Amino acid sequence: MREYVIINLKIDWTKAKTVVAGVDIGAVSSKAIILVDRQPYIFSQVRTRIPEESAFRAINAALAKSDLKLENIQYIVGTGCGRRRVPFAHKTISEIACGAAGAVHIWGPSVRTVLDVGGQSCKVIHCTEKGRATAFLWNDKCAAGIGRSIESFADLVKKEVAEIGNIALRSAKSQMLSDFCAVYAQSEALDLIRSRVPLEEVIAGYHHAMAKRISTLAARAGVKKDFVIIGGLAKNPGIIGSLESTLKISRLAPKPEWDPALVVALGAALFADTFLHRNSCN
Amino acid sequence: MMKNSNSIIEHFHHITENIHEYAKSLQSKGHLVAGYMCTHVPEEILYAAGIIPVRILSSHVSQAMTRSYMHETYCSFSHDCAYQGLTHNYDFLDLIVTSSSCIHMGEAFNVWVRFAGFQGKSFLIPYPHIIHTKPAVAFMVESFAEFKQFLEKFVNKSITDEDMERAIKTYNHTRRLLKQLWEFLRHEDSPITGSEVATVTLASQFMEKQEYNQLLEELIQKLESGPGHRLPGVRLMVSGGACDDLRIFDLIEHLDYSASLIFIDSCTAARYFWFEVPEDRADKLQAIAEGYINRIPCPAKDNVPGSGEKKRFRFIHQFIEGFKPDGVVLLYQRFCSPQPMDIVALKPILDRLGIPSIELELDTTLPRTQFQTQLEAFVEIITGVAP
Repeated sequence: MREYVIINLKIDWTKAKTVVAGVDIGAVSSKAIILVDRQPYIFSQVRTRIPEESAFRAINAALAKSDLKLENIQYIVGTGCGRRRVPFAHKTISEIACGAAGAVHIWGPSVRTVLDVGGQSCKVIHCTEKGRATAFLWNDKCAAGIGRSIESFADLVKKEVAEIGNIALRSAKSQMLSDFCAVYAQSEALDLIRSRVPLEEVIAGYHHAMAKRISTLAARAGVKKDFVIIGGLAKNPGIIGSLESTLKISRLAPKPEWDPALVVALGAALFADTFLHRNSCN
Repeated sequence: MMKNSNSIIEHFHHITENIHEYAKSLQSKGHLVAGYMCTHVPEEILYAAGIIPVRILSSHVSQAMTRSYMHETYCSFSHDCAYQGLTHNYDFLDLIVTSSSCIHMGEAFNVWVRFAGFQGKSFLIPYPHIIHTKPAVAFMVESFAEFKQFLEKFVNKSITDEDMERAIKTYNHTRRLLKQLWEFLRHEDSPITGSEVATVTLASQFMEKQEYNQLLEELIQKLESGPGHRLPGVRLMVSGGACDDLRIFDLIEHLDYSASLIFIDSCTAARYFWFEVPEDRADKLQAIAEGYINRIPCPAKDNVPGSGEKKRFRFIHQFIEGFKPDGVVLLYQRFCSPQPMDIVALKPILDRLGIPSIELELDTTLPRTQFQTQLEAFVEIITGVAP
């Protein structure tokens, strides 16, 4: 997980009618997005530690790039598993509703299924053209197929999280590993490595196993077109490649200007904008 | 006589949190106490024999030790119940009983018998696998007769028809009172919440029935004469397997959104009591068999041969019409097979009725944050939250 801040310097927030923010406290990373007149102004991502502290770190990291102050943000929505612990949020909305809202905003009204593969959970969300979530299915209590399992696997094979997906994709062959349990799969992987099986084949096998695990959730929920993938693991080409071939459906192409890990925070910021308008109308 | 309805509910709550203390207090009053592991056990026969049935429930603590005795993929409730035996939490029981209803709970029972010192003081009641068939009643009558004989030997006295009739009437009285209590939840201005009703219902599963009935009558009287308070927000029904973790029901009523629990279709709630044993039959065992067959079926037993129909769904439909939930929470134990298998058939029915649903998988411990997020997301879906 890389910590970063991006600002759009073309935007002058002082001339804006609305300045709102979404803060997503995820299990692995905390993200903040500030929208100025619904346009993305600043994104930030930091590692989650104590939720309250991470919320401040995420928003302060964003604010540090601008002369904008916390009090200038008119409405803030907290989301993610730590949403209740964003001390400066005006309201909270679940990551399910925010994920659907953010995905439809980025990819457009044709999106009907959002697969959110995060650090500690994996969800399939169905939504309307307006970005309203209509149903969802959450992974069971198992680490297989979530970000943490890839992190611990990367640690096991002594590779960077950001690079192992590409290694998996490059491998011509793939070893068969357990798709039932991340821990079993890792012990099987270790056996293969010690038996001198080429590392890239083991890495490809692990990615394939995790993708199969995610695909069972997606298959149970049903994947309707258009289909998008968000969350940190959406950046892992090894998982995504295996997932698309297992599900026999392609996702809409990622938008280069959007980090898929930020989609939920974006949804929260869109909710903040809506609530701000509702308040001003009342 | 207690002061008000809250103090009675608090009393029931205290008992649910101190089951062992309560059961031991029954023994100190001279009663024999039998633990039972499944609601297919005809408690009436135990009661007629002068034995107080106490349901064996879980403790919601980590029970890794049971993995040496039971397969990993047995449900967490059965592991937790087996753990109760292995840690000798229920050593004071005079007897344990179960019926051959659920394989997982049957294995928990075997653990108690083989490894927890209950070998000489246990009874397994054979129960038909498919209850929706003609021979089922005769099978059950025979099983219950064997159980009755065992108990007569155990207490060293015969169980008369009068004993049986008294027990049937006492238990039916409990069922009618509980139904009366649950009826409050049909209305928006119920004087009692769903989680309080769940607490009172759970207490019924291990309290001495006459004592319980008296307290419950008092509670209902006070609730009827007191003011109702609107059940707020989204009305949620729970349908699923055994759940004695009352915190989940409390969580439903304490989300960031306003929501009320208005019905629980589970063997630790409505399925425990939503039936009666006919009181007018000459053959009391036949009456009990008929009563138990006509109850809301457990998914482990609910399969109409030939059509594969699930009779429980008729009840669920009836409860949806009567209690008018806005959504259904499908709650089941991790590694339970019959409950999640039922969901496959139940979900399309709920979809046709326009009732949204979500699945929550229970484990030994309660993943509060995760459940809260899922429940809140569910409420957002029901209320149509959109940016």
